Amino acid sequence: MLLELVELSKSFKSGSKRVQAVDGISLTVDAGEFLAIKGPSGCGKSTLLLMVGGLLSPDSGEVLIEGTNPYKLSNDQRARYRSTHMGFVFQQFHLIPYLNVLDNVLTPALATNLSQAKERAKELIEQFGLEHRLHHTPAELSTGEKQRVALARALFHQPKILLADEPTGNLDSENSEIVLKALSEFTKEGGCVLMVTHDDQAVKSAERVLGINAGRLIPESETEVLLNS
Amino acid sequence: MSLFRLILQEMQHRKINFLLGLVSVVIAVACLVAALTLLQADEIQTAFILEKKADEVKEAGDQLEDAMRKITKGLGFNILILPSNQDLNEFHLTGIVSGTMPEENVKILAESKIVTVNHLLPMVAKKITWPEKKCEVILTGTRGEVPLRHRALKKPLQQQVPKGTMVMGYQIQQKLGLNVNDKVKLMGKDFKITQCYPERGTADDSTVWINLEEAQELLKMQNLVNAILALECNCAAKDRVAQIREEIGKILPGTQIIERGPPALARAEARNQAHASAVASLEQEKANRLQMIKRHADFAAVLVPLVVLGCGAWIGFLSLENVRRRAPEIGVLRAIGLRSTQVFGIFIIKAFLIGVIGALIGYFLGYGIGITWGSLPASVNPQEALFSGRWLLLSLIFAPVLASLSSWIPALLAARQDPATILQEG
Ligand SMILES: Nc1ncnc2c1ncn2[C@@H]1O[C@H](COP(=O)(O)OP(=O)(O)O)[C@@H](O)[C@H]1O
Ligand SMILES: [Mg+2]
Repeated sequence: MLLELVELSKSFKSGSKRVQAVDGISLTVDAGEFLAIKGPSGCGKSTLLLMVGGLLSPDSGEVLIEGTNPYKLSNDQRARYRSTHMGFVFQQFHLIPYLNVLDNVLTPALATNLSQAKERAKELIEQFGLEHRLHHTPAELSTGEKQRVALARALFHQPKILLADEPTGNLDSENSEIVLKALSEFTKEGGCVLMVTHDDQAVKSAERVLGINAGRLIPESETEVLLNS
Repeated sequence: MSLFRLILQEMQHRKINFLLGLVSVVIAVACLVAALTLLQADEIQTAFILEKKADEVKEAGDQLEDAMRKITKGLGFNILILPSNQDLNEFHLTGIVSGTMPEENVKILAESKIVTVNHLLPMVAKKITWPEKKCEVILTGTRGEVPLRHRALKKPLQQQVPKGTMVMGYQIQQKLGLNVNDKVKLMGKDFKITQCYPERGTADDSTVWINLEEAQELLKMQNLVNAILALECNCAAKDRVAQIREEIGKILPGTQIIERGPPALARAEARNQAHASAVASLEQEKANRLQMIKRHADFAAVLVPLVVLGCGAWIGFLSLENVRRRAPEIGVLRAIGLRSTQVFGIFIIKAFLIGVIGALIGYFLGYGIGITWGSLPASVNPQEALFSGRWLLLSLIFAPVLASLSSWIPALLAARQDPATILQEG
């Protein structure tokens, strides 16, 4: 068991009301698993992912990665933990606009030094068919290419868990296919993918799918029904 | 990829933000350096002007001293002590003294403690018609110098005329066709001519000098003198005649004193005035320059902090804007695992770099302003005189510190920014 979530909850204050974004989610994920969590917009998917990623501390409950609770670490330790254990992919790509493709892929090296970083980055870029784009900035890339660069960046440190927040949300089906294939391959090499999405095509790539609604997981049996309908 | 490269790339990418920050640093540094450079020029110019003035004062002082020395030595001024019954108007009109006073007066004066008067020469002088030659002359009897008792006898200024000898003025000698060693008769008495003076252009040319005692006898003025000449008086006081009058008045009440001024006197007076005005002008110039420097320094003391504060605020504002705009980037870098100190560093190092570049440009801009508008003496090379490695160094310290401090709070905000809020969107 790589990842365990125990009764994870998070609420936000929005004006005078409290919004319960995540409401008591418990879950276990193993290494090599490709888990998709599907749900409508505003149901708490991104909140869940950020808590798993060690970027948003839960109000209650626990995140355990290989038995370690990242929120029990100091800020700097947690940052370091993220750099070695986590990879992130976002719907908005969040590439650094003034860095070229190679430098963007290399940004994780700022957090943790890696020998032969450049070789590793070039290898990944080649793997995603972007070797001709090495010195281009994000503004010069298509959306599909941007997400592939983001993916290469997320995989740079060979993370244990890849957290993908609607990675195909801005992509056409062809580019979605490329990204989802890359995620599958990552799980085959022993990585674990936790993808949140409301995209049906994306869900099909996953081995295991969970529904989420109003911050709560829908039991797997019911999810089947939900998916098939 | 290093943090430094990331910072440089960002500066290149967001040129406007970088340039606006740079310009404000350049302005702050240029303003500071220009103020310092112009003040430095002021000081060099002042030192130069004052030195020149001091030279003038010294020269005037030297000339004055020289004039005073000439007065007190050899070329000193002369006074004439005249009897109380002498009509000065008559004296000035005719050049002849008709009044008399006891010869005793000379002795009294010589034995007094008077210090302003030197070389006392008692004399009788009368315009007569030389009976034997049928020629009008001024007959002067002189005894030579009477030593002042309280002082060693100085080298006599006027040689004595021994009894039986005669010294002759130029006109008389020419008119009578006489020469040295000729023997002449004056009022029945025999004299040998021992000296003939060259032309002096004064009444001296119509004068014959004989021994005082003989003259008194011939003129029936036993124990009387017409005047006492005091040569080379040395009194440096401004109104020296008044002072001498007062001194002599105490010793010989009733005598009249007039000055027979040689040119040295007028010269000395002029020099005295020149020196005084040079000193006054130096003082005035010094005061003016100091006032000007103070005015400039006061102006700089207000302007520079104002500009520096304004630029600091502006840099702070630009940094804040930069931090806001880069929020997603910061979120991603934090997600990737950068520590908050690294994020802080990104903004502080950027500010520091802008400070360094701005300091270099600003220093040379301020220096340029200084050498363009600073007024310096023509003999001074402004490029050399006004360049200051120390201020360049100061700028290179000051500007990065100013920029970093101004960006401190924005950088802290960036470091503390919660990555979640940014990454959650979408
Ligand atoms: N920082 C926040 N402040 C207030 N409300 C928030 C914040 N983040 C998320 N929420 C709210 O929490 C709920 C879940 O949001 P989110 O996890 O982003 O949903 P999803 O990613 O599934 O669209 C939404 O109602 C959203 O408005
Ligand atoms: Mg979302």
